[in-house]
Amino acid sequence: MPFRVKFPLTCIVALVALAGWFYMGWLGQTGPQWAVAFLGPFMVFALWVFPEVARK
Amino acid sequence: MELASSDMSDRQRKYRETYRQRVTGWYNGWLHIAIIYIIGVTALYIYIANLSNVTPLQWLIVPVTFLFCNFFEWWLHRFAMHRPSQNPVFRAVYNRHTLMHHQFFTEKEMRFADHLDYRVTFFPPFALATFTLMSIPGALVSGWLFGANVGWLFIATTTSTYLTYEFMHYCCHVNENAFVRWMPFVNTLRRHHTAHHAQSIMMERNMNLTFPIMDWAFGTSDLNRGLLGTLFNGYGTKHLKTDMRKTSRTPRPRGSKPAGMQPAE
Repeated sequence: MPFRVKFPLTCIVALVALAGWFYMGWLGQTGPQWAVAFLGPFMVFALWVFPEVARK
Repeated sequence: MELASSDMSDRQRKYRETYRQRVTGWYNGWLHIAIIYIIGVTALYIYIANLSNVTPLQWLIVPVTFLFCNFFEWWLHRFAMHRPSQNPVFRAVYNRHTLMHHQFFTEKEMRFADHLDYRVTFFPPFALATFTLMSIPGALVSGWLFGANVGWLFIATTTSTYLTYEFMHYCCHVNENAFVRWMPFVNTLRRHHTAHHAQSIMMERNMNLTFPIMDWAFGTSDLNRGLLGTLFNGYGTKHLKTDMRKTSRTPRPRGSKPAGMQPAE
């Protein structure tokens, strides 16, 4: 996936995770709030962990 | 790195070799699987932890969403993954699926040689992020209309379907073993998907990759059976349709090289 697509996607994932963290806090869901705190950064990591398939 | 014993053609062998040579950068198939399932299971925990006193009526969203996902999977496979589009995103999906996955695996040889080959089968990790984001509006709307439980169940079902898709597709490309041979649904999909990899019918038959419900509903299954027979067919070939295409119908946009000459991207 090209950088110009992957970078905005990363930003959206981070923003949604941040919103989810606040939402879980507002609901008083402590466990899921911690899970969101883990999931957001982990999804960002997952987006970038493998290099793009490219020709040598 | 290649299977020691295989019926694959020289063309397929050459393609697999070239694909592997042209992939730069590090990759680990087991890490790829771990990432997909860590994200999926963590997300499911969040969704399920928010359920509270679900009524029988609210549970109905699960089969409804399941059928919608089954249709979406069928539609995406039939009309995006096997159609060369002018849209760059859909074109990339087509390149990855039809030009790479379908040359790497044919009905003659469907198996991985090792975990490095997982890359040409599992969706990249960004796909799960994308599908999750796509599910959020549906979850918000259904939650707003029918109660929070329905929203959480909706997104839990879409995520579960994604994880099931990856698992079932993986089972189609592993070595033969007792689990894939005898496990209901898995054995059905394994034969169903192997048949789909035949170049002659890949454009129009066996488009589901979890449960072939929409293939049955829209007549794109290669079986002439009812729904239950289609779902529990296993490896059987007794009910195969006899009027299927015998030659390839791979689309070639004007000016492009033949599919077999496309390099890995």
